[in-house]
Amino acid sequence: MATSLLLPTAYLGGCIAAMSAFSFVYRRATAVSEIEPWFGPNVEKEQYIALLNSSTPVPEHHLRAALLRRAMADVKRLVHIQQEKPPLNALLRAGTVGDDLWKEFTVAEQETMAELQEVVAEANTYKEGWGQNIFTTAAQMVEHEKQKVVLEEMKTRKEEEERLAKLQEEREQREIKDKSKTDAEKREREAKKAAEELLKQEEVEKVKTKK
Amino acid sequence: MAQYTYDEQGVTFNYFVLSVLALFLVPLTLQWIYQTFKDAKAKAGKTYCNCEPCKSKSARLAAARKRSAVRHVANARILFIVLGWILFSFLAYKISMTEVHKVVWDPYDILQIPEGTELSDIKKTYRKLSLVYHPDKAPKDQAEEYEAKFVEITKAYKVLTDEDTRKNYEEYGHPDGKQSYTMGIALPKWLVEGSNSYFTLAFYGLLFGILLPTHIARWWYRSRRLTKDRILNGSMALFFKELKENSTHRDLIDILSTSVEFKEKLTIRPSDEASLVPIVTIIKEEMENRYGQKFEKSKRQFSAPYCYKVKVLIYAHLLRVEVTDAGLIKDQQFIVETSVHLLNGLLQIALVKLWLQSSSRIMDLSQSLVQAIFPGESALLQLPYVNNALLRQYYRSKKRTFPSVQKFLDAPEDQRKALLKPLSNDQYLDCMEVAKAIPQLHTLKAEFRVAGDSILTVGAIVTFILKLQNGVVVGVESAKTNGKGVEQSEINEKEDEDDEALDAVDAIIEGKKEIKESDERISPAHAPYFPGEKKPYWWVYLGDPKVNRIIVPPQKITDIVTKKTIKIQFPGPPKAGTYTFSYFVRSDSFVGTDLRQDIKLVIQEPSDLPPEDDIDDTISEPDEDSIAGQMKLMREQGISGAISGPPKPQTNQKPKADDNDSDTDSDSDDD
Repeated sequence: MATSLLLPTAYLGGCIAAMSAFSFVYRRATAVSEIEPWFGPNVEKEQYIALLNSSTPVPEHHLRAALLRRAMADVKRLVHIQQEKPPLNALLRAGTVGDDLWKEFTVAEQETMAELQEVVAEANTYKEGWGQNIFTTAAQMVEHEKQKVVLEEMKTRKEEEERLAKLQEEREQREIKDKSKTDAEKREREAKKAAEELLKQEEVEKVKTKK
Repeated sequence: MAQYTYDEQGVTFNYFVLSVLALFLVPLTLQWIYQTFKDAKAKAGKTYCNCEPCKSKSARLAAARKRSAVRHVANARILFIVLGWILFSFLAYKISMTEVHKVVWDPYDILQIPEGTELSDIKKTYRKLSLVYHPDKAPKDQAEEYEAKFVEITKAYKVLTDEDTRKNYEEYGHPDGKQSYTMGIALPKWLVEGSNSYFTLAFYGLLFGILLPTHIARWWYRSRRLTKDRILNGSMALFFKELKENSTHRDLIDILSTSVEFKEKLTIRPSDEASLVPIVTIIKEEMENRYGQKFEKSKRQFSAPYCYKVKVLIYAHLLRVEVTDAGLIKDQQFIVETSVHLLNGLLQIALVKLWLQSSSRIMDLSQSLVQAIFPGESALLQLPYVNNALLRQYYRSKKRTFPSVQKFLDAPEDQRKALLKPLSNDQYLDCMEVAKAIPQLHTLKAEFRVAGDSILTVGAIVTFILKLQNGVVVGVESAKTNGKGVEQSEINEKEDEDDEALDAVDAIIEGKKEIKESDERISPAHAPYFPGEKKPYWWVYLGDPKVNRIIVPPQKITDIVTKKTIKIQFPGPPKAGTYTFSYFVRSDSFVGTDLRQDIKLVIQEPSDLPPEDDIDDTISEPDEDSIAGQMKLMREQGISGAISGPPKPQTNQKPKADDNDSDTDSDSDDD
């Protein structure tokens, strides 16, 4: 009787122990893989919150400006997410990127959406209805900044090209100089050699005449 | 009554083991023989050029092959094969030595007479045998044997003569009537004996309970970390985030240097920092001198020590700065080889985003890495003995440059010799040999076509047909048949026409690929600085440089040996009009062999199609020309298929895309 009960209990206990051990190890292993944030820290948001909470009173137009900055940052993120989504989707389907990246991306997407809503709500506290068009304004500002950057880039590129051309010229001149220098040396050496030979010949002739 | 008997002698079990062994051994052995045969052939057929880097590379490769062969896979396999055959022959010997019980009881066999013998003959034989084997006559030591034999003989005789016993025999296979029913299990007894049962059980438990699951789990986790292209997921994630539309070559190297592959597999030795310093100084000097660029540590996450090391070693490779430290050399080889592989991952991302510029830069970098030429440097550096000093000297004195190897080959010999003045005659010949071996592609034909139609219409599946020829072979041919140049060209033209006809057929009957052109195998690229062997391949794609977009993503072509026809299908533009694209043929391993040409795609409205009757008219015309007539027939047959054919993929694609979209939507909702 005793053995007939002992055996199934042991079997059941063993099974449960093995399974729980596996689940423990597995959970610990999967918990380690944290989701890496897609975007860096949202500086504009932090700045705005810091301004809101500052102990010294901040004039409202500063707060509004800070909120607009925050909206601009969000617009950039939103544009980025909208642009990246289709290619990422295609890559995921093709098996070229891993699931982790997709997970990261969806988390970032949700965060951005929440952030957008937050900004809208925040804007409405200043003036009813501002929330509806704050992002249009922000988008226009972003566009303007982009154009500025392009202009700047063109300028620097021109400078860089000029610099490279100059460098090339210098190098060529240097090489020509080096060459002329080596040529001059060569000629000098040859001249010396010729002179020596002449001297030798003369000596030989002298000896001959003496004889 | 059923009764189990274990295989006492182990005969059946041995048969079982023997056949299983043979199942593994025979294919393995054959494969091994084939492999060694192929290796030997490859070794014999290989011709390295005689320049210093090439020689050292071939020596290194041979050594590596030997080492890996002796130590790893091949060794284990050979061991298995040898041990397997030893076991096999032992078992075979054992089986041949053990007597097998006669299972089938055959009275004719016992009496040693052929089947169907006359009754009188049977009686005669029985009498003779019973006299010989009578127990009374047996010698003393063989008494029992004789008796047994005698009984058998009597039995057999009875079966053949007596009615009752004959019936027994016919019904049960034995004259004594029904035999006890036995079942054999083809396991040797020692395996199931009580005293051994624990060992057997433990063995099974170990095999199926522990070894098998762990093995599968290890494989599963390792493969889960890799993408389909065998690149670590982490690396691809990094690439995806870092690759930009306008990434330069330097950016690309920076991105490469962050790959998780290097982080995990590259060991950072404490001595590295010191041994990298002289290399860095040379690189800095070279970069400053040649390009006026500064070489410095990258910013942000690219600044980890392993990133810096990878970056320095890649630059050293591209600038051909000699690395002396043995450990670093090994690291560099690993880095370069892995980088070329990783570039494929980067390329995938750039392609999905349809970025033309960064894709072409990635391809540039692939060429550069394989040939160890800094992006933008002269293609002539691919040739042995050619270095920058040599080139600069020539360019300065002659004020003439060769943008590609092809141009160099086309130049008159005295110019070539002038460039390679310091080389000996042998070295010069070597150099020319390598130059000729570098593929020089030419376009024979490039056009757009729609299967079955003479014009391209809106919404049709357009086939881009590109016929390429490797220029080297042409050069050789024309040199051979100098006098018969005209004839040669005529033949070529004829071939072209035939090919065209074939093209048309192929365009209609899809799926049938031409095999005849790709019979020859392509040999590895001449890349003395690349650590491994590199089979060259080409990317063929369409792009629009004006808007920096790829129109049709690349197809990988691996076998352009002499001639090759490439067909790429893509859905045509949705609007009528003239589109100007460029098609690109880019090598992954050779610098300066790429093709790029503008091409026009004219799309017309479907109403511009000639009416169907027109085609009927044209069919009746070329009756006298049999080939053309056949062609037209084919075309007509194809039209019925083409009308129902082309729209199919479109309709197939659409629901697919929809499905996936909805999938991903629901996914994101779940999250």
